[in-house]
Amino acid sequence: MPSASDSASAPAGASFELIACHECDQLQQLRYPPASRIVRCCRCGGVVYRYHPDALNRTLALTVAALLLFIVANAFPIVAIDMQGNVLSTSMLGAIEHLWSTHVPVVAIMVALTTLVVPTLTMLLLVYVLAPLQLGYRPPGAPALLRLLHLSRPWGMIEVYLLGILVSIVKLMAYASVIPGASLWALILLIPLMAAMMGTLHPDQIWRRLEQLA
Amino acid sequence: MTTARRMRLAGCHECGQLSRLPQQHGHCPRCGAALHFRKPASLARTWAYLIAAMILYIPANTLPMMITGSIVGTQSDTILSGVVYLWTSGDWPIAALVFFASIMVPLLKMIAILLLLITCQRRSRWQPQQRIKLYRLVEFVGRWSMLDIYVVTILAALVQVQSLASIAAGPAAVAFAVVVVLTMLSAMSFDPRLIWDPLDDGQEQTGEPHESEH
Repeated sequence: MPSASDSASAPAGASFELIACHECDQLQQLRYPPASRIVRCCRCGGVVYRYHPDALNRTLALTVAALLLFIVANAFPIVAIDMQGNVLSTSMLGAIEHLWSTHVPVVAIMVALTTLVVPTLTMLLLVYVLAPLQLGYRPPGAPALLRLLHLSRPWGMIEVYLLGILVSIVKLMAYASVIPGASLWALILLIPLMAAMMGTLHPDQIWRRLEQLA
Repeated sequence: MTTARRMRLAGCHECGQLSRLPQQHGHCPRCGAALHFRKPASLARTWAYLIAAMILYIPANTLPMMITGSIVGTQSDTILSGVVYLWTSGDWPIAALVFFASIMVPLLKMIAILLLLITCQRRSRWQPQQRIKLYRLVEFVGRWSMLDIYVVTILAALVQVQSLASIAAGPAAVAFAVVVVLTMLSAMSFDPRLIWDPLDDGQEQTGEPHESEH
């Protein structure tokens, strides 16, 4: 039976490694590189491994694109309404600021974290780690930053935010004419990009690259 | 069929690396993250977050979520009365969406976690395949409950016509945001491998001696 310590040191070519399912602890063999994009557990069907031959490159490209769109999404108003001649508009930052200034700072912090801090952090961390890796050197502090990335990942909720904006627009349409802003279009483009960005990557692939460079 | 724990191996949560773990706790040799066979005090933590979420679910639904002020007076809406208002004003698809995301999802999520906790505590062997699917669903769907918080955020920031109309977030927004966070933390601290442990232990008792080559 192969011991776990020598399983990671096979750099290229197909090799068999032991892997444990995160959801049921089933020990199984993983052929690396896997034949399919998604490897499922033989017992519970959970995703054991995600693989794409060019995953790091792809994620890096998508992250840079997402980052640019995210800047656009923050720089322009999301929606404007025309209420009997009063034109009002708000941006992502403006909405958070307003919550902060009116008695609900807890909610403001939650909204700021899930729609602003965590998505920005995720994208910046990915660029910081992946760009040097693609150029062939180890970014300093990578292990701690990758752990931070793993920790913050479930708390980014941009897609829910977009749905919230759409629901608000429908609610407002009864009272005022609604003018969608540039930020809304940027967010609509951003969601599939972010899904693709996270979808192809398994952290193990970043770690393999880091180990090769060590 | 064997599990990683039985071979004294533990898979790292951060990087996926499988490594030998002589004691109960250790650190991943590759990324340095904390390593254990099962999440420590998983059931106790999950219970704690779940009970806190259940208590806060009451004010989240009974207190006003959104306070609308206009020339005719102020009106407070709870989540449910907001849904009813949408339904009666003819926006039934949006009403159904908000009802599902803000009332059904948190409630079903808490019931699902409760079911997982009770079955795992009793070391039940009932339907592990279905229960792991339930767990995956809970993990996936939890974030969508934030929808109503975002709707209030946008509406409150946007509708601020002096003395004509204004919208403010009510106290339920705070309770509701905390409920979403608590249920997410509850799902995160639950270890899905506990679903499978009774089955594996049973297999160990009934036969096939698994002490091998070391």
